[in-house]
Amino acid sequence: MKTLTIALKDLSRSFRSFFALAFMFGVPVLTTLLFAFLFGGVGSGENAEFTIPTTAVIVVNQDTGSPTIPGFDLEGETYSSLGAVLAGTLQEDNLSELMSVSLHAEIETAKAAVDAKDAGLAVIIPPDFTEAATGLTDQEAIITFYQDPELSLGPQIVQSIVMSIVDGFSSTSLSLTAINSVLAVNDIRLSQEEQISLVQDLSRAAQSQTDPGDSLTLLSPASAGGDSEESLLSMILRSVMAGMMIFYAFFTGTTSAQMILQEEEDGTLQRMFITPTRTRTILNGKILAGFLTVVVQVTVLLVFANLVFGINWGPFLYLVPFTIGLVALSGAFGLFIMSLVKNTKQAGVIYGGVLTFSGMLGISSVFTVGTPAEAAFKIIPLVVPQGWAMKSIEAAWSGNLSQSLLFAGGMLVWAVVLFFIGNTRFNKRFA
Amino acid sequence: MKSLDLAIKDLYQIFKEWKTALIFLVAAPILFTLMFGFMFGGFNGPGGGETDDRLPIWLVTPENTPITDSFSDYLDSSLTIRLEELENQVELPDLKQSVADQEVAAVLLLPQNFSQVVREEGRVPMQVILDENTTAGIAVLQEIQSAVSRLKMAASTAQLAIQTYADKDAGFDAVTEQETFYDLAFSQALSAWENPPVKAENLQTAPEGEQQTSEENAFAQSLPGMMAQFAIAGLIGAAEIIVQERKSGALDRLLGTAVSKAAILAGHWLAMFGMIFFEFMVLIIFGQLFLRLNFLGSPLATLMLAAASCAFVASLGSLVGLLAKMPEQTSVFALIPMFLFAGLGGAWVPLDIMGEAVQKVSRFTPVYWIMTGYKDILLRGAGLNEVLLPFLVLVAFAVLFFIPAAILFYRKRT
Repeated sequence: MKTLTIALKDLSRSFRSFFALAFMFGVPVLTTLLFAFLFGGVGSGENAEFTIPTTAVIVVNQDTGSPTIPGFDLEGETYSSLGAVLAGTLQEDNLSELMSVSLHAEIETAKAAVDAKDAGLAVIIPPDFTEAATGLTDQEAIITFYQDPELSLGPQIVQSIVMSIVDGFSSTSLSLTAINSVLAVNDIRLSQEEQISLVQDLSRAAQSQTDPGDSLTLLSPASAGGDSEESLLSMILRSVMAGMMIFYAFFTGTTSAQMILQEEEDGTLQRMFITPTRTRTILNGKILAGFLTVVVQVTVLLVFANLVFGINWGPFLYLVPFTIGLVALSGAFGLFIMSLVKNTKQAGVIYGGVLTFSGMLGISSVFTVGTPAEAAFKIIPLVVPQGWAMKSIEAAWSGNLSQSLLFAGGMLVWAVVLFFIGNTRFNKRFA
Repeated sequence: MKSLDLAIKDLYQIFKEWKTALIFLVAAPILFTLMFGFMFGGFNGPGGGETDDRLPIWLVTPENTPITDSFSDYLDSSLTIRLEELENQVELPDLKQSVADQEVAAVLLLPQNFSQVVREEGRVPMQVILDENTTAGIAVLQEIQSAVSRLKMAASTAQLAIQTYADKDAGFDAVTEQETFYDLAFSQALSAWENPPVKAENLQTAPEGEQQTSEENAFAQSLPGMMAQFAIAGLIGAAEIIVQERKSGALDRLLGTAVSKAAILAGHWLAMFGMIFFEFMVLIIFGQLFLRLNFLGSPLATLMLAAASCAFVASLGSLVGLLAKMPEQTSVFALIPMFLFAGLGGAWVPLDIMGEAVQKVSRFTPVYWIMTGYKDILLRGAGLNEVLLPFLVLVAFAVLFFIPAAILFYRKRT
């Protein structure tokens, strides 16, 4: 009973401090709000979504065309070369959200514009483009993509679009070569008229096959509660909120444990020790206060994020092991860390060094989500306790109960070890 | 001179705990530089090396025919994806789970009678399980869409080959003979894409006479980012000295001496400047020696930018130290700008893969200008003139944070 009384006293002290409240709730929520605002999730309606920025593209068309094919008719317009067709296609309205295209005559001015960051990408179409794409020459043509080294996604998408259009141009000549090759196996040679007729058939086939949409059915991977319609924005917010919650829960656990040192320095702890209450009871009360503070913090943040940001944390039952694990681990971590330092002066180094470093490492998957490194960062964060917490909540919202339990179990093992060391050291210190 | 004495005293206090200081000022930023650099392809990390780091996918096909074999060979020759064998039969929910768990980037499912539908109808129906919200998913989808278009064209080509063969009065004796002919034409049409007539060449802006790779890009992103982030995080300990000085009454005693207020403030500012400058220099030398980042290509520009960056961080540190009432508050007051400036300024993730709103807001953060300046030096070989704008903006930020710090210092006593 005395343990609980001491815990409640410390708890009320924590929650009366504006600084502690800002630390526990304000900063994680504000950081998530900031990301929500930046990604268009606040005040932009329900369909707010992350968008890929438009890439400024310069096209240098050096294609001289081919004397064999003097003109290309496309949607009522006649072009002198396939390079001109390509440049025209890239300027169509349906691509304007992905790229803003301008034409340059000189390669050097186009490259200079990229160098000066006036454009993100220069697409240089070579003089022999038409001849190569139509199979009129055996020489291969090279389209040069000259890009700003700071950009990655935008130029990559533009290049993919350009090459898919080029595929369409090349497919006729490649198909013609394939047909001639199999006919040759059977000693059949086509006349020039037959070849031209075949080319026309292949061109028609190529034009009708540019859209793969009717063949390909996309299925979403497994997700929490089978919610396949979750937007990218809500997933980003969920990762940020989870990362911030874990990061600051460990700060709260440590701050709570620091109250033991603070009271020791203020002399109030020694005063309590001369009362009939046992030292162990007093320490237990202080430790319990730390755990209860984190319980309140984590519960409030989980509920708040769900109600205000609409974050889906996954099935409630899957979330329970994570919550228990986080409370136990952050409380035990704080106790362990504070048992190692001599006074509150040293605690600053702990906040600055240990907590920031281990916290950043533990939640590093937040910053790698959706990048090629996402898979590579499955193991590294597990060297710190925060990494186990992050993995546990990720497993919970992915609907993977076995992994959620596994990582929550790992958190509890960490918690038991850290609690044992911290508790033993404090008991020895005040024995 | 008195400012210098005070600065040396502060530095002595900071580096007295030299193990902690070295871990936080040197080891942590280096570790995070390597980690973030690896994420974006440095040291042959994902997407950056010569090892086979193509995205793994599973192909689930209920039949083994020449058409599915051709398709399988075609997919495996891709530069983006690699086929991995699926040993046992796996149910759809488990396949979805495997993609969700990132065991594979995607699963491609061909239906029963796929080859028959291709031959008879020219359609290539298939299902793909992937996460469209990841860059890996986007890359795989693009590759599969391209494969589907080529498959459909190969089917049309094979059909036209049969038609042409028949038109030459060389009909087939049996259905199997026609199927064999079809399969050969299909396979030829698909394998022709292994050597397309038009290819792509990728070049990028680079310092004169050099050709950069993604490996250099990766560390040119991560090193300046971590330099900036840990410079701000490093303020926690340094700013705490100012708080402790006030709380312990040492400031009052100091004010009772002949040392002016300006000298005291300048001393603290100089100490923080020195500490962060030390960190910058160590990391720059590390980058030059071990990460092949050419800071020394523009030594003066590198130094100028480092000085301006450190001036901004020192001013911010002075403000943090004066705003905090208790020593532990310095953590919050330093961590908030660290997250804000580093996250929005592009220290963690290149800004081009973030939204347009972030890109606009990022210009109002000092870390953006640190990143811009150093990236210009490293990726474009920028000199003094080119980094003048980032330098001036950082100096402006230094002044912006120093003014409220000075006002607070003159008004506050303890």
